Amino acid sequence: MSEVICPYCGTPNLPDAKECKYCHKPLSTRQDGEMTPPGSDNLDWLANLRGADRDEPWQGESAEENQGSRTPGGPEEDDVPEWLERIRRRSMEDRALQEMQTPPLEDRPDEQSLSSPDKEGDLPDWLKISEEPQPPFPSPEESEPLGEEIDHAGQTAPTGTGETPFPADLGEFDLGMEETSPSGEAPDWLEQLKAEKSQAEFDTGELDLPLDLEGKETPVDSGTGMSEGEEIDFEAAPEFLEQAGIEDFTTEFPDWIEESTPEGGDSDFLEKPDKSLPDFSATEDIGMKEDIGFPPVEQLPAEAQPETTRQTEIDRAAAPPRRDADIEPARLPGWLEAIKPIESVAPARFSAEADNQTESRGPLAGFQGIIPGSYPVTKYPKSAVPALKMQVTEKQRVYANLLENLISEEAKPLQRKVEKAAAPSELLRFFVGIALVGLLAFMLFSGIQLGSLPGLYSPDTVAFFNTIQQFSQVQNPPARILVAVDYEPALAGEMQTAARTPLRQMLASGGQLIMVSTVPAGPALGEQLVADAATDLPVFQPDLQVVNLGYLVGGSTSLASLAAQPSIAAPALTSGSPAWDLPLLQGIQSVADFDGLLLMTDNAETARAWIEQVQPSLAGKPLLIISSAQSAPIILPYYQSNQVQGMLAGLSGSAAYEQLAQIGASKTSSLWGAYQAGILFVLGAILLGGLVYGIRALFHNFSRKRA
Amino acid sequence: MRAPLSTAIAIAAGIVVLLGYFLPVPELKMIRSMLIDWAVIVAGIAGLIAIIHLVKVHIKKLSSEQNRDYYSLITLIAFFFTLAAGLLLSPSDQRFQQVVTSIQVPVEASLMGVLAISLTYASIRLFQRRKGWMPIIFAVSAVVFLILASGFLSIADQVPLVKTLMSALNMLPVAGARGILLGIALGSLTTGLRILLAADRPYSG
Repeated sequence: MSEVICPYCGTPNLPDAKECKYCHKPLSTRQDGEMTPPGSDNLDWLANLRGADRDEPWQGESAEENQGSRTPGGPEEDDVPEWLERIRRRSMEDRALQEMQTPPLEDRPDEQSLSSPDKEGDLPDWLKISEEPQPPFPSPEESEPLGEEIDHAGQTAPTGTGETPFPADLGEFDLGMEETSPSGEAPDWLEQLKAEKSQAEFDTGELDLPLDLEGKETPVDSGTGMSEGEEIDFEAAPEFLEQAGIEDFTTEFPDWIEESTPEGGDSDFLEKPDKSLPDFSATEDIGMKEDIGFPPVEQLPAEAQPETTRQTEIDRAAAPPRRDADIEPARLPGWLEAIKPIESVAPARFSAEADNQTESRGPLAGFQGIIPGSYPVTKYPKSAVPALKMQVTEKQRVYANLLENLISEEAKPLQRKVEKAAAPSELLRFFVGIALVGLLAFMLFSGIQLGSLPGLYSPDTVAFFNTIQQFSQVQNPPARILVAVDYEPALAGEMQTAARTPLRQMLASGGQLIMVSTVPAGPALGEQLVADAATDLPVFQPDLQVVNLGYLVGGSTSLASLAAQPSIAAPALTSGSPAWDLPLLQGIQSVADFDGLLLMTDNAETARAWIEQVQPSLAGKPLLIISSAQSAPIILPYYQSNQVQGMLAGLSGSAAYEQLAQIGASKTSSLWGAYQAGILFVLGAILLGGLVYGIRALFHNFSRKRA
Repeated sequence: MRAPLSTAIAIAAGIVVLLGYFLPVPELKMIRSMLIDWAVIVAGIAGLIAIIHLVKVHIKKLSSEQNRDYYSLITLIAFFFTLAAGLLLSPSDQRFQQVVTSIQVPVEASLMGVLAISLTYASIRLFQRRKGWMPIIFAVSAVVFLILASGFLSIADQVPLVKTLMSALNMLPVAGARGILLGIALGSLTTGLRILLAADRPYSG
């Protein structure tokens, strides 16, 4: 190693440095140069137990010092290793302390056996054996049978010391050391010890096989020819007790169990659940060991193992081979039976009644002796689940509810509100129809006038009248007016009534009308309109004054084409003959060559198309509109913006025009009375209906309040 | 873009027509006129296709085994009769024009008469169907403008206050109509720009 890492600050230092160049803390180096913090004693407990291994590369002692302690067969007292001395010292201290707290010796054979060697200044056999040099950490092949024996017999008590000086997972640490070796192999010293130990046991026939707790065949001891669990007679007095002259040996509970026994020594109490004792049958292995307070037995060091176990092992090694017939059947004490590891791992045995029970439900129905399905459910209560209740404020709760409502409303289909419609009254509908038709017919045929013709004239009507008068005054040549007949046959009555008088005036003055239409029925309606307007005109010459260019296909597109090139947009008459060869259309190259444009429409969209597409091409020539009453409000803004020079709207506009033209009796005046009567009828219907249903609603509310 | 060629043609045509309105370039004006004439021809052909489709639909409805519509037979008879009359007599013939003036005008006028009766009946039940302030406002406005349109107030034309009041009331629908027209103009402008910028491609399917 080329440098030394300070254990305190991690600064690299020179190999021969005594203290850290950064933090000035002392650097204690091991042989291999690795650092060990001076105060690092986290492995002291392990070092106490593994005293023989302190000369290993990760310990701080020299190899020469440890060589003597590791030498096998060193029987001299001076050569006793340090770890063994510590164990002995601690054992003696514990025994001295125990003697001060224990009852007389005759009542406690175990304690007597422990104390007698001390009195005699001699070591017991089991402790002598421990003096033999053994590897501090037996190989798994060795440690497992040993630990198993301890499991069977050694869990009676941790030798009365109260607690063990090492953690409970020592055995696991051992295995981990072997398994987690960086190279995947055990250290050389461990391999050597395992090899020596295995060879020695094989030679002496003491090779212990592990006992399988999962029900496999129990290994048989090669020395005795019997299984390990059966050969141990715990009722018999150990040999060392017999040597000590103690014959009154009884298997009783140790004090630490007796103290916890509620009824004082009844060994059957463990079979009954008692709150004063941990439930070993229902506790897992690890939990049981933790409850008892001592580590797993297989992790106990040799000196901490119970005397019975050690003595049994000694007896087994020293006893001659016995035949099976001479072997007394093994019989464990009740208290030991109760705390056997196999019993603690496995759940409590079911009663004979449960064994004979036949399953009546589930997939195992009909089988006998199976574990009842309901037993584990009742045996192991449901673990308490902590309540996960979020603490939220009232505002957060409101927001959460709002979000939840939003999400739920999104998933719901939209509910259509079904309005409660009143049932139509056939009688009322019939009465309204008959009354309206009868009233209008009466007014038309009777000629009764409810009021005079309108005396107030709107500005658009006046402008229309003035423009028509200008057209009528144009002579030599007469005015050529482009007339667009763009109304539907349904409104022909209103439109013809409104347009009749202006057209008649223009035709009377010799004006020339060139008719086009963007409505399929428009050419026919135009012919009918002209024929109606020219009725009884003495100077009317249809062939010289009227040209019908027919239907323009394409709506507003055709209007754009007409505005650009009229001869291309409407090249022929309705009869199919060329139109632009006629003398009436000579000199017409564009719409600006006409003296004006008269648009007759019942549709505001059509009026807008004409205004947008054709009006800019008129070059200041007047655009007049005769519209229905329903579309007049939409067209009127164009008049106010001077895009339209005059407008005549509906029957009222026609009446006003006739008033301005000072025309006496006409078709308009004959219709005016029926028109006013119809308006009065509708006004009366609205007022009467509102009155009736208003009163009904009042009475309904009143009766509901009374009820 | 699903139809780049169609989009390019549409944008180019729109720009040429638009420039033809603003720039006094004879070539642009000629191209614009040509494109518009093409559009008129296409519209005429579309009209023919629509007529053929109409006849096909009514033939299908008439020949259907389930829910056979015998009114389609009347439609087909009227169509073929009018077509034959137009081809034989031409639209300028007085007898052919009688088809429009003596059949179509009375039928559509009758529908308008039925509409008038239905509206009158609905005006009676106006307060039965709707409750609240809106029916009252609608009824009041309808009554006011019916009175204005009836000409009954012309007897008070010499009263200055009545004349001023009538002029003010007549401006109310005009104001509303102007707002509608402004909205239509803005919508048309936006639609044209979207087509020119290929944001809307109705021609691409």
